[in-house]
Amino acid sequence: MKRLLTAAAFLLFAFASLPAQEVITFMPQWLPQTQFAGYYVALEKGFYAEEGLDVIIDHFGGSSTETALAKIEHRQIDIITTQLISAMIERDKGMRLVNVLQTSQVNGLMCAAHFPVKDPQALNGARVGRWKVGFGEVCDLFCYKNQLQVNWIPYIQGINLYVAGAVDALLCYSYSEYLQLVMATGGIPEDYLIRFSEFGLDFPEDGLYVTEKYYKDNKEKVDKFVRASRRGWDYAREHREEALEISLKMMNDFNVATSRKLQEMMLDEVLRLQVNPVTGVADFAPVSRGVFDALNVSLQEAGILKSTIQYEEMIR
Amino acid sequence: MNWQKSFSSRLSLFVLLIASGLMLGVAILLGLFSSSSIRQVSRNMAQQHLNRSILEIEQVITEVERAVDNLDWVVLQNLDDEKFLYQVTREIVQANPNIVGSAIAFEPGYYKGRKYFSPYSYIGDQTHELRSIQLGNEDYDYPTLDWYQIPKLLGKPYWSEPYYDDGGGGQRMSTYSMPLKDEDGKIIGIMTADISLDWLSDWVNSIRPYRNSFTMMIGRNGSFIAHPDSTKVLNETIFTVAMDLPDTTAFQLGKDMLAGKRGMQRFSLNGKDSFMVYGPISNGWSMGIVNLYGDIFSSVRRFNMFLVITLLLGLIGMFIGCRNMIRRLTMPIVEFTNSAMTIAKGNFQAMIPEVETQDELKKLRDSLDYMQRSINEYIGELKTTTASNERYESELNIAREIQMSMLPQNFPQREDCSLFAMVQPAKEVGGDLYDFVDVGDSLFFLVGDVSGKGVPAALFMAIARAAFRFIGALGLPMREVVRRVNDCLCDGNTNEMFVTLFAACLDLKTGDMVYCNAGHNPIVLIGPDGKSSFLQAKPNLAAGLFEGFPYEDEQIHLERGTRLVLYTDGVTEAERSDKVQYGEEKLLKWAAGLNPLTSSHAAVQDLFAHVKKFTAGADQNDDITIMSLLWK
Repeated sequence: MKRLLTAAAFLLFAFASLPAQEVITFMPQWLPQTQFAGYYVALEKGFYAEEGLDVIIDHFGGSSTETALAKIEHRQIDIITTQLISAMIERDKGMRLVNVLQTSQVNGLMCAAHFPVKDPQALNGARVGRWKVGFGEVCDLFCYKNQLQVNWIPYIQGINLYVAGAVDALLCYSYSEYLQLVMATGGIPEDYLIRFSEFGLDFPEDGLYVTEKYYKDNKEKVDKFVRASRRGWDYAREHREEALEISLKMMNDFNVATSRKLQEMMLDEVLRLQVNPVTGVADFAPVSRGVFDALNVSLQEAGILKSTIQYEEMIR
Repeated sequence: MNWQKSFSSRLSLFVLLIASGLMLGVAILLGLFSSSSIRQVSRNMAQQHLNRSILEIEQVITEVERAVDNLDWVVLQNLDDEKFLYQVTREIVQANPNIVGSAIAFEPGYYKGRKYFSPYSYIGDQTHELRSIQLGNEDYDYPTLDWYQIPKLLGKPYWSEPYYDDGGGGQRMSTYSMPLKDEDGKIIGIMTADISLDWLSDWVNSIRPYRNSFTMMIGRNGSFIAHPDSTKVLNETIFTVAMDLPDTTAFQLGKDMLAGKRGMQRFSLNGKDSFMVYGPISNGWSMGIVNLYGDIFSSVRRFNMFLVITLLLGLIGMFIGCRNMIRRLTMPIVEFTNSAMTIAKGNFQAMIPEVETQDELKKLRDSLDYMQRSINEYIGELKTTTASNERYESELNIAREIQMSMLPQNFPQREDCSLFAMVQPAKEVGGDLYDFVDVGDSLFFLVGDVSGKGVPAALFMAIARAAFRFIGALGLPMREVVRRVNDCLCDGNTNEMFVTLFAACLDLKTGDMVYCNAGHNPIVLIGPDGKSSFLQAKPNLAAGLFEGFPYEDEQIHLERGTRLVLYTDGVTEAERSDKVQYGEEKLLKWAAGLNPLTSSHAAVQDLFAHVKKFTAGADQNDDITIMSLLWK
């Protein structure tokens, strides 16, 4: 039962022979997986090094409370990935995060239940598993909108709560836990699923964030990181098999056991969520003012935000 | 080997084919029957292995569950004694070799107001010493972990899905968690026991009913707890494997296993016919043993191969033996064949070998012998008949010569007329006749045709010719000559034979011609101008039919250069093979085309040639007589 309680820090020095490289530390918001394939590819293919960056990737430990948000707050990490809503909440709390790249364009949050949930009221009073570290705010908006009282069951990770029947439903991401559920159960009936993006809650998720101060002091460095990261994602889109291999190698380096099939399906889904529904291509378009304003309103109505987040200050 | 020429080889091959077919049929039936039985036995055997294995692992599970369950009341009665709680966890680990760690984790705030309190004892990975710690803290928020939260939410004991112990060098673990409840039934904590599953791999790999069998275990989340491919353990689920398989059998199999069902499923594993027996384990996991039918039937295949080779050798031996035996048995047939060939080549006295048996060969030998004797007798008769025929033919030839000699061949050599006639009998001898006599300026001539053919007709013709010679010489009128000849022929004509004839007497000085027709064909008259026609004549009756018939003669005056063509019906009735006759029209046409100056000899031969050309080689069916007389 003795799990490793803290994040595994693993330093990767790529292209050590290149002179005068600027060091930058980077932490994705979850365990190593193809959700972050573009960054692994950028590192492995030397895109960061070509920009003169020496990128050190650290990872969040599965059961640790030391999240990427906490790390960047304590200035232990330069740049992180997190979700737009999470960043807005943190900014509301006082941590002045700046979005420097919006990778996700479509919301992937889902809810998998043990019974039909096409009527949102079916979830009223239900025990619903939710990550202890956050990520469920879109469901909060959903509950607020539908006047639902949900008994949240916090958990660290995995799908065993659902499989064991300990919860009525489980929040999950279309690229992660949902795929694990499919692989564990052989499939969940479609009417047992809620895709929140289909309920007017299609808010973008993952993006790259730095603190406002860091961005002010290291704008050029951050821009280089963003450029190389975009190259990494574009390369991953064009070379999925290679991106998968690179990601699996990264997972192996971080001693994370996984299924190749799961990671392959996850990469496909993550890349699908990066396609801008307006343009039809993965253009890493910044969050639009309209979406941002709508989020401000919804989150404040639901009591999640106390103040209005300024678009110009957060979205770069 | 030339199968077509060797009766023994063909018969042997035939026997071989029948024997092979029968053996093949029996082999197929046996194969089908034994295959079904072997399949059933193999399934039963695999099922027994599975049941025994599940019992073994359930024994371990039960021991662990009892170790925790039995101390439930001790913990509840000593909640205040913190050291005792540690001691309990140590006792659980020490007393049970399968348990490597045990904890008593309390609800946040329950134990003396502490947020986390969880005495935990475990065996160190490196030192293998028993250690005790307090487990919970801000970084290890156990109330949110599966081993704590799930039994709490379920309100009943729970075996966790296997996991890699992060701090234990990667060994696989599973935790049994039992809710601790106070007197009110409220859950105050979770009591656990950890077991290492590292022994599972070796143990599971040892379960092999057949050479390539393998055993797998899956948890409630479908992930492999044990699998021969260690990379799949805890990484892949039965469904990720099923996704890569072409059929959906494995998919359904996974669902059945997760549903805790017991059964057997046949499926294709990497293209190999396989089956899996599976059943649930008491803690919610499932175990399955995969077996390849190829393994099960491998020994049967070896036996079948041996059987096939043995049968093949037996069949080859049988073929050789059969052929030699048949050769020996049929040797007399070969000798009979040689004898028959010798006889066929003309040696009718060839020896036919004797046989000692009384079977069909004896009958065949007797038949050959009878045939040989019959041939010899037939040939003897044939020789006699041939000699008789030769003699008859010789006589006929003589008769032909005699008959031909009766017909005058010395035609008149005169300036004022050209006469020629020719007879072509249909057989050796015939019934046609012609005759002529020139006395001074008178030329008597006739053409006749006796009824029938052959020897009778020839004899009647001889009589008729003699009668004419005799009576004609009396100087009587033509009608009288014919009347007397008729009477002569009627006399004693018991066979009622007759002769048609045309007789005439031409005055070579004046061209007056007296003629009498006795039922004969009309003669052709070719004028000096080349025009041809039939001479009109009273038909009268053929001579020899009616004694005393009053024949009448007629008279005509001929112009110089007139040609008369007399003939018998052998000309006009000459037939082609398609039964079309030469006919009078063609005869007149021929006559019209004849050069008036042509000699009678040439004219007769030309008409003969014309008729022959018409019949185009068809057999001559009647005697042909042609006479040409040209009065110059």
